[in-house]
Amino acid sequence: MTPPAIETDGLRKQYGDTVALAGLDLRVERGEVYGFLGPNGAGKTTTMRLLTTLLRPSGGEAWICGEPVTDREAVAPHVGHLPERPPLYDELTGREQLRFAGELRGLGSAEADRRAESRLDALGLDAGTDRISTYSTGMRKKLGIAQATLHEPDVLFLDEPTNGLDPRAARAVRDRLTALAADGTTVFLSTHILPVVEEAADRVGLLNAGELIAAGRPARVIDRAEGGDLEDAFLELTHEER
Amino acid sequence: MNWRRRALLVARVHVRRRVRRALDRPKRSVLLVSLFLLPVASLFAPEQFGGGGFAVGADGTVSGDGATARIAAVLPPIFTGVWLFLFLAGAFTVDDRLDDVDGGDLLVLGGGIRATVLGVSLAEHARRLALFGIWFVVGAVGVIVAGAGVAALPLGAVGFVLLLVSATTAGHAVGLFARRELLDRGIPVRRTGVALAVGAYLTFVAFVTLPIGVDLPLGELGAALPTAWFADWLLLEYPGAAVRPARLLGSVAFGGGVAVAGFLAKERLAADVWFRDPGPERDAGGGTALDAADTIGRLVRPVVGPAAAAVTWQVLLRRLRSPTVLAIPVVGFLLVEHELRTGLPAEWYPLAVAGFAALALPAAVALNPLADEGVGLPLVLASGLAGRAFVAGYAAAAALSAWLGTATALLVAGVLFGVRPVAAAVALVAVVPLALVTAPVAVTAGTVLPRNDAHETVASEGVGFPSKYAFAVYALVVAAAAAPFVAVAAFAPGMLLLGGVGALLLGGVAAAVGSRVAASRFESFALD
Repeated sequence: MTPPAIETDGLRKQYGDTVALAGLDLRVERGEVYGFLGPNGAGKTTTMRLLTTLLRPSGGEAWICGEPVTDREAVAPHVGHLPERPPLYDELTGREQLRFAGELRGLGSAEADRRAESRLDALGLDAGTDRISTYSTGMRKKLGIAQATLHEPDVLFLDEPTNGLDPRAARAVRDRLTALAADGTTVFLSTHILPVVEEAADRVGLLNAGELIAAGRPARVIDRAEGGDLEDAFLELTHEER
Repeated sequence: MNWRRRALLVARVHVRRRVRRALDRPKRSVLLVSLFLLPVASLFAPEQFGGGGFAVGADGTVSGDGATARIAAVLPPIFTGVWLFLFLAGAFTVDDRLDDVDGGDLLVLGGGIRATVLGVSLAEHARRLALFGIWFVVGAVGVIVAGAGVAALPLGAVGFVLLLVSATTAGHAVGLFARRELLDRGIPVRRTGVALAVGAYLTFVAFVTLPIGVDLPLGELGAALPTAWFADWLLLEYPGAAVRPARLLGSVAFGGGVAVAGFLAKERLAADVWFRDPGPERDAGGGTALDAADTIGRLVRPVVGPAAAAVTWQVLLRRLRSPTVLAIPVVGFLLVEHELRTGLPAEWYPLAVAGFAALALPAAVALNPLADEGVGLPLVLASGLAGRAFVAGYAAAAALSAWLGTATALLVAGVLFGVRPVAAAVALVAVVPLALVTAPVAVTAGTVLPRNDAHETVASEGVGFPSKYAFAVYALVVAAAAAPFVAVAAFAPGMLLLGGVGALLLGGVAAAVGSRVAASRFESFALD
């Protein structure tokens, strides 16, 4: 049986006395788009960093495609990660950045270039020969997505991918995510922009103060909050918990 | 691709980025290279100008009054001092969180921890070697111009490479170890530029200034440590200097051993420490800083009024929490040291420190007031704060910094040299009128000549460096005010007090007029 894309069992992270994540139980199937919601400081970024092996859990367990998150070498090939601030080098051009990321992942330079070209095309980014220092926020996000998907990961973690984008750029990013999901990539999406999640996510999870307080299909979460839209549900559920 | 190839890829890309960055900012690069040339230039400058008085001979060797003997005596403790300085700098500046590594997420997920640590380390060593390599390039050019080839020059570079790599790698490992131990004990980690600067200052004084100035046991200790063996590679150039092959071999074993052990420890520690993010920093050490700033605010309130006092404690609090700018004057204290070493009588040290503190600390604190307010500037402007209160608040913070800087430097000097209490007290009194002149002049120059335009000023997020024009105007005004004192010192040394009073009066007028101009400029400042 194929293991789920993401599975956690009592995943916990604590900084001193502060509990950032209090026993998260989560299961995300392959090819799903999972919207991970929560107010500022709820623990969303911490969860993403735990699942991408960039933080060490204080307790509990988690697996990506069946590999434990404590084994970075095993997990890394399965994940693509776009932090809120994409890890890009201003002094390189977009194409150089992608070639570097591709080679780092073990691709040959020709293959890295070929994939870079296709990712840039898919995102409508035609500034591959310009230095990244000249890129707008939207271009950086697009390049970040291209970089995170270059090695064709099974699971893509995106932290606020549409933050700071104008509507056109946000639409381009959203379309790309939908296309990736259609190709079978699992997308784990953290954002404050709820309409994006409502439109794109198969299921959502609502995190508040380190605890998962609601999870399921968007319509079900909305019903639980007695109607309205996801934004109403978000406000009502996070308010209840406070 | 194995981890070694990945490491080389990371190193190659990082070096390429560094080169492009340097080429993108040619002025900054030229300035940096010039700064690195200064120590070499000072060695060859005539002694009456504070230089070393050495010269490159036609045979390519450096000569001077007893040059070989002097160099052979001086280089070993200097190498120890430089090693300790680089070690300390490495410990303080090591990337101790994954977020500190440029593109850390990408590198670790794509290349793994070992390739990341090695790749970034190689790139950093390459950068340092390129910078310090300037000395050897200059040396080689000098030798060629003098018409002779010196085979030993590249050998000197070997010693330097060993020193550089072993010191920084060991420093990185120790820095990460300290971070891990502090995290294990739940102690907030707070590294500051001031701590680094003070450490570097003490290292410099202990192993470079003192051994050169007088033959102290500390110099002998510096020469006896294995870190001094690296100097022998450079001494190969001097036929008169006794170089023992055992020390050369020892330096390779020591340097190579420390570098390899340091790297292995660094990799192991990074794999642990980088992923132990302690979470959002909660005002680490802030309570003490707040208490200190608040106390100072309460002290100055009766003098400058409540609004200006609020500006004062806010400025001091932010500097205490972001003190990198305050580290800059330490360089100046080193120069004062240099003057002492080259002729300034020791009893003048407290006054020289006071004079320097009165000049440098107001520049560090108050020469960029608008941009230092940055994102908070609209709040300050919209509060209806009077220009006079803004200027007075900044000036008070700057003057107090000068006094505190003097007291700190004298305390350090007192421990190291035994400064006479009376001389220290005189200096602490003398710094008051000096700072009361220089502080408002600094605020004026910084307010009238802000570093950025209004838009960029409001976008700045922290304490930054002032405009070069503000620096220039500040220096010119202070120099003009000091003219009567300098003239008297040169032509009528018996009337120094009169010259001092004249300088203070002239400076006082400049400060008073400048404060009005700055207040008016602040009140008319608009965000367009």
